[in-house]
Amino acid sequence: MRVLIVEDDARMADYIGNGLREAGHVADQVANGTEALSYAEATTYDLMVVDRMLPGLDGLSLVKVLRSTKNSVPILMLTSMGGVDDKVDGLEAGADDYLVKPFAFSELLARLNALARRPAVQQEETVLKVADLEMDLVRRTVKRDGQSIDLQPREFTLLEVLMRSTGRVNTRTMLLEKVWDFRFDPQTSVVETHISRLRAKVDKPFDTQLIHTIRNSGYSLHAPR
Amino acid sequence: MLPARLWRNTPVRVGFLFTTLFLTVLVIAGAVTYFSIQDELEDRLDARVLEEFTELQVEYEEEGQDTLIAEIGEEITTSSKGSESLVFALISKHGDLLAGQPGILPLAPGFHTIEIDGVRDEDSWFRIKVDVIDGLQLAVGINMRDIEEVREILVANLLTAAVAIILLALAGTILLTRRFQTRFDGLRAALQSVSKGDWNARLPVSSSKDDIDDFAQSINETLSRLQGLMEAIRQVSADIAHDLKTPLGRLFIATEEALSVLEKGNDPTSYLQEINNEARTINTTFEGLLSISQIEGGAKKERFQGVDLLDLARSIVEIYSAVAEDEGFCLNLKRPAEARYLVTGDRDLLNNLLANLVENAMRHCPGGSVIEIGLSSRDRAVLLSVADNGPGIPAEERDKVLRRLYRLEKSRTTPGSGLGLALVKAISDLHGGTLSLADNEPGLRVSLTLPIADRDQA
Repeated sequence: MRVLIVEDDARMADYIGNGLREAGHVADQVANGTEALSYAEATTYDLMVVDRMLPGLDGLSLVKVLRSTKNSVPILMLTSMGGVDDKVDGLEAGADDYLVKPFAFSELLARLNALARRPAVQQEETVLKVADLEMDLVRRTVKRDGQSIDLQPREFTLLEVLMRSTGRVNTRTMLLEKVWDFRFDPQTSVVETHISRLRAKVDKPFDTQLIHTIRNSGYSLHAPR
Repeated sequence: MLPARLWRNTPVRVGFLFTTLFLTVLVIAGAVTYFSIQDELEDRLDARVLEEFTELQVEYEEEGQDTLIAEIGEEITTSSKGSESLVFALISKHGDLLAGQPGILPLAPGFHTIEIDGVRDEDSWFRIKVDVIDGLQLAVGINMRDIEEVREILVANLLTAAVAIILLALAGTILLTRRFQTRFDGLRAALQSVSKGDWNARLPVSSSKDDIDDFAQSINETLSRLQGLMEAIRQVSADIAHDLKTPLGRLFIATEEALSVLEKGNDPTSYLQEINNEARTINTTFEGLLSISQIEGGAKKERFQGVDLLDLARSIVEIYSAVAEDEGFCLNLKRPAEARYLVTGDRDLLNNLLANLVENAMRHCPGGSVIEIGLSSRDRAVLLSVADNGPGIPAEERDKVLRRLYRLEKSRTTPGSGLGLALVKAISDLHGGTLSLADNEPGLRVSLTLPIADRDQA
């Protein structure tokens, strides 16, 4: 992936840039909004990471300008303020996701991966398949190795989110948002508990594990490698 | 005109303005009355003089010069006894006085106003009609004393009115100025104490509820709001000093130790882990403080929309029931018959509020406790409660736990930032709700009353 990082704090920009390069991506760094506009004009990026507070043209305005020029590059906005209003402002300006500073790099990477793979046109799949796990979205049934698995509605949604993003990491907060529409950082291990219940139904009775815990990051569902 | 200081006083200015206005109107009205009355009286005098003149003229034309002279003599005698004071004069072609008062003729034919001495022993103005008949000049005049009198009465009355107006205006202005000055002095004194730092000072509001009271009332409301904000800022600084300095201190120590361990060539991983954890704690506390101040500062209410609390409570139970079960709690939702509990608010914040209350209960209750979310509605309000049968909070501590970073002594060892209930309080306040903590006998019952949303906002 080719990523443009728009961040005026050099330390933070290097941290994101080096992290992305280590993960095998190409990252360009610029320190202000005006420069970002000319970079975005000259190069087609797969992703942009935009800090909200920038000298000159600020992050919100930058996103608005990009969207008004029909540039639909997925944008993740970084904010220092975690208030509800700040998040909504960012999304309303046209950003696709937001992340509050400070953040763990794994969270940023997981969210960028999710953004990059977001299909341009939502294709209606009716059956999701990962290894021997099969989900019928119309009948709302799940089968593994031919055996049907009985899931609660929310467990079904959780599994669906994991299967749709197979091979990629979903962090705790991403799962809370996608499955429960919950924008709050619980102090208790709610996600872990739901995952472990899902595992007991989907993984435990079978030989191979599909739901993997990625340490210090989140969860990923994929076929054994 | 007026000293500059007085001139800046609004009642004085208004008083002066109105006095000037009234006097101007009085002068104009007075002048119009005066001149129209004078005209009218003069017309009447002219008519009277003309009548007298015509009578004499007819006498002459019918009877001749001698009869006229005799008639004039007679008229003079009659007039000296009557109320009217008439004068007559008749001179020949050569200017010799034939009859009547000397010193009047010759004059050009027509009407004249002249002063004549010594008629009835007084000097006076007369209205005179003069004309020439067959070479003879005849003058008939009438005293203008009546006009003069009316004129004097008019002027005297107008002057009296003017003086009365000036005196009344002056008295009114002084009275008003004093009254307003006293009130303004009160307002100024209160504002001055505020500017000197006494945030408890409030503007005096009288019982009359007039516009100045309205004004004072709004300033007082503004002051209360400002006072709240000031206290919030002071509180935040104190909180930061109190609860952020401690983990910062630990962070500092851990970095020092990590460096010295490195110098000795040993593995600093455990210290780095500690540093990471402390930084995380600091960030959590800081973010909590920030969101509370943001919410207390009045988050944007235009994003408020209809939120069904039943929906919200159900999803909270769904998220937390598994964890609750694993930790030995019984989490359930209790509500009367199927109903909608619609309020106007921010869904994320209300979610946050309820999650906080549930987590709080789970954190402070021993395993096996029952946590119950209750929903009910009564006249235009929705009552949302989270009750447990855990250790509860002593009555004297219940108000304090709503404060930021306040933690019961016994819960110092349990995890938590001490911000949960303060956040709950802030969110409740933003939504115009009332929050109360009560004894659940045993346990704690947190109740939130929110105004029900209008149907059309659904």
